[in-house]
Amino acid sequence: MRKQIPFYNQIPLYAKKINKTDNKGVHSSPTTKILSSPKWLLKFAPVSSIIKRSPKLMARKEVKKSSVLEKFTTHAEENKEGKDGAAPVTPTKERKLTNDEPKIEASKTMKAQHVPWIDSSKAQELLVSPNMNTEVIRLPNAVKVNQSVLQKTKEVKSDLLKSPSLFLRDSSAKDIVGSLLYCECGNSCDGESTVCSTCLKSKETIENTGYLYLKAKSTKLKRYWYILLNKELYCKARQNYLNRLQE
Amino acid sequence: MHTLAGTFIKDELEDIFDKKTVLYPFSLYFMHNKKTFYALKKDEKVSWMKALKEAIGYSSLYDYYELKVLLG
Repeated sequence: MRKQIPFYNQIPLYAKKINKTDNKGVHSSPTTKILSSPKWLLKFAPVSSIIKRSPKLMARKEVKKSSVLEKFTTHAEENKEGKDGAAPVTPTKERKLTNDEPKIEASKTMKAQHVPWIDSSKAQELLVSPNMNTEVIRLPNAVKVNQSVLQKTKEVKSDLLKSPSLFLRDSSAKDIVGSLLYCECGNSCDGESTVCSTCLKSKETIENTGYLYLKAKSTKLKRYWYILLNKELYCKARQNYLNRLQE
Repeated sequence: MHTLAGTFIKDELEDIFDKKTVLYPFSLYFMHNKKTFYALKKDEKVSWMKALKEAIGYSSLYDYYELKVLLG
């Protein structure tokens, strides 16, 4: 492989010193100007970059080249024939190309460049179609459903072939196959309820009330009225607390 | 008011008070202290223990299994 040398290393090759003179004829200090190399100019020219991108323009360029070459080659052949015996043809006369010839040449160049050739009828269809500018049209996935699974289940729904992420997102009490129901926690539900037994227990309020004794000293007991509400344990000296709340 | 988050419950042995009354204690282990509660009847203690265990979400090995003499 040939090593690419950066342009800033090659600057001295393209630098040129220029002496300038004023109107009065006095020489000023010489200035250096950098000349851009023809290679770089070709590479970074905006026209060339556009041509490289589009295959159509490239093909057109090739056609132009080939037509010029053909013109010269046809003249050469005709001159040869003239030398053999027939009357020589004057080089000033130019052979007129028929209407189909440039198309054929274009197709040849397209084939050489592996560019897919589109018929005129197809091209017209594409021009008419609204999805002309879209790059890719995605077709629906053809999924083969396992027949054995379908036969076992009574009701088959579109949710049967869900991805795991979707399945987990919509897992809150949605039937996937037949009568199977799942709770938010992931456990299966019994019957037609949408919440499992453990979740039901947790949602229920835990209540308990009664007297409990605490040891004030080793020889003395003190009575308290305790109320348990879910995860909170309230302590009151008297039982009337509940009655007051109800009032 | 006591919050029962992060607490543990423990069943204690029966205690005799003033050589007459039998007390049925159970203790609650809070974050930094321990409190022992006494019930006068065994049923009361059982009902309290059950309610508190539900509230805490506490479950021990003995709730589900019975450990007996080694077979061999």
